[in-house]
Amino acid sequence: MNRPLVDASLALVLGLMFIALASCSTAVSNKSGAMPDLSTGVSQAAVLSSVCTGCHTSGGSAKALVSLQDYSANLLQRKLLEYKNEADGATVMHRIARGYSEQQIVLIADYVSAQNQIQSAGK
Amino acid sequence: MTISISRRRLIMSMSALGLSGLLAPSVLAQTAKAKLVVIGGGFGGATAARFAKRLLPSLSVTLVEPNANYVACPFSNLVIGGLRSIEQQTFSYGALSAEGITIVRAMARDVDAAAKIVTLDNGTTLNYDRLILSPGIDFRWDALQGYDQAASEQLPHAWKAGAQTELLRKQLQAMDDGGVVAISVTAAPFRCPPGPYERASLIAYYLKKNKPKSKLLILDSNEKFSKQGLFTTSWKNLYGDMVEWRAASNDGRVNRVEANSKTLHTDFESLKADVANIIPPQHAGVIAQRVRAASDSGWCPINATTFESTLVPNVHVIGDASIASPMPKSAFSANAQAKVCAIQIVRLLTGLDAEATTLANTCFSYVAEDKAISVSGVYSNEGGQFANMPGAGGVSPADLSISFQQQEAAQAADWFKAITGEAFS
Ligand SMILES: Cc1cc2nc3c(=O)[nH]c(=O)nc-3n(C[C@H](O)[C@H](O)[C@H](O)COP(=O)(O)OP(=O)(O)OC[C@H]3O[C@@H](n4cnc5c(N)ncnc54)[C@H](O)[C@@H]3O)c2cc1C
Repeated sequence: MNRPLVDASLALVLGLMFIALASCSTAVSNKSGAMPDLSTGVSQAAVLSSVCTGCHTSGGSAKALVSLQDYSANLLQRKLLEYKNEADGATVMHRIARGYSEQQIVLIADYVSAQNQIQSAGK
Repeated sequence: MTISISRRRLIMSMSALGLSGLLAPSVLAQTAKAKLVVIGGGFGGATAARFAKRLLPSLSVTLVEPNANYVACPFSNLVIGGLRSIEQQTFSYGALSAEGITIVRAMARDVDAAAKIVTLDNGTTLNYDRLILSPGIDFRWDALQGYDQAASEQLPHAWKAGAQTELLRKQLQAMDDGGVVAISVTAAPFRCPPGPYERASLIAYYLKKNKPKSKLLILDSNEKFSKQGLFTTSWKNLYGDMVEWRAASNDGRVNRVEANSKTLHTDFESLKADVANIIPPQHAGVIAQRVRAASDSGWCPINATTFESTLVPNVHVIGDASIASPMPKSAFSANAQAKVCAIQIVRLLTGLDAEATTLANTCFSYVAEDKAISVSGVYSNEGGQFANMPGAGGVSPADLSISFQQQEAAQAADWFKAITGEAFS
């Protein structure tokens, strides 16, 4: 039903791109065994992470909310798991992290840190 | 470290393909241009337009919005409380134009969903492959007896920000000490569930400082309200008995108003106020009714995974106009929905299936100049339905320490910068 509106050659290129990147991201799978799909801006990891930036910018003038650019994948994963698992935590981040699975947290941590690296490479 | 090496490789290949975009420009040049039209340049529409354009630079994105500037409702209660200027609430569409989004300054008047054509109030037409509706709310002027557009010049709603916000502010400034301020709250659902009570807090803040003999009466058509325990405690602690809240069952429901005498009628009483703020009955923006994307409820039913209307194909509805409960009608929700919707539309346009995900919301409410409380929720949109994620979300702790409230106020200020940044700068 979802007739592609872009032509076939584009779909082909897209497909090839996904394959190329999927093989990369397999190698990126980390110690908790999840396979992050970091391939594109429309991946599951991207859509999950898109919600974070409504509060957390990368860089800028934030004072009370952390800036995402300071986080490596490991650090962000550890922090989010702490929020998720601290039973008596009462901050907004505790209340939110409890709604995400460990696997989703891994995806978010990997995607955000990959974006950070793209940004700093672009500077 | 194999991880970092492969990460680097991944990033290099992503850069070669146009970074976070989907395709390299050379590829894009050869593709047919798909067309996205977005109606409404508020938190939902402006954010969706930018994300869609960024994800798929070849996409033609047109944003239809009648106003040259957007005046944000979040933090407008601080303007009413005298803590902020309306200029700090005002944003232009310059950044969007610079990113290649076509801004059409007009009102969308009608949509032919079969032909996929939008007609504007100036007669121009726009073709689309996908349409996003984010028109926010309009008022049901007929629904509260005596309250029409003319009446709102005397009894401001201030539920769309701008001139109305300033009018309510001016009326409060002009009021004598010892006056009665009344806020009438319509029955849910309405835009920003904690908004009326944040407003009450900040009006009380202003009165206590400047007109301490005055009273603030909230006449509510509801039995309970968002963050009720936290608000009630804060009012008592900060403003003593200045604030009184009346539930619907305690004769709180206003069913008729007289604008000239500023009189509010409940079932059993007539109350003459010195300043009356009427938060009136609402429905999805009128254009949603014209498109027939709204049901009899006045709001738009959607498939929660794609945000596509269940009534009109290829039309996606986000923000206040949509039925997204348990997600509240908030700017935070509109922002999250805009990004998820943009991603799903790009997936559909490029032949991929839509994917369910997890969304979140947090509404901060100021209770005083430097203190705020919050409510959060996390939601799944699997299978086309929104659902609360069990065990997640909730409000600030009941044993509120002052420093916790101050922290949440500082977080709110950062949130406002981030969310307006994603939409407008
Ligand atoms: C007092 C108050 C305080 C609030 N505080 C908060 C808060 O602290 N946090 C929070 O998250 N939310 C808050 N909100 C809620 C927030 O303002 C809304 O949820 C948000 O604006 C919804 O975004 P939207 O895109 O659906 O609609 P809007 O932001 O209202 O945007 C709709 C746009 O569509 C345009 N439009 C309408 N019809 C047409 C048409 N036919 N053609 C073209 N354009 C059209 C309008 O001009 C407008 O620019 C508050 C609201 C109020 C009233």
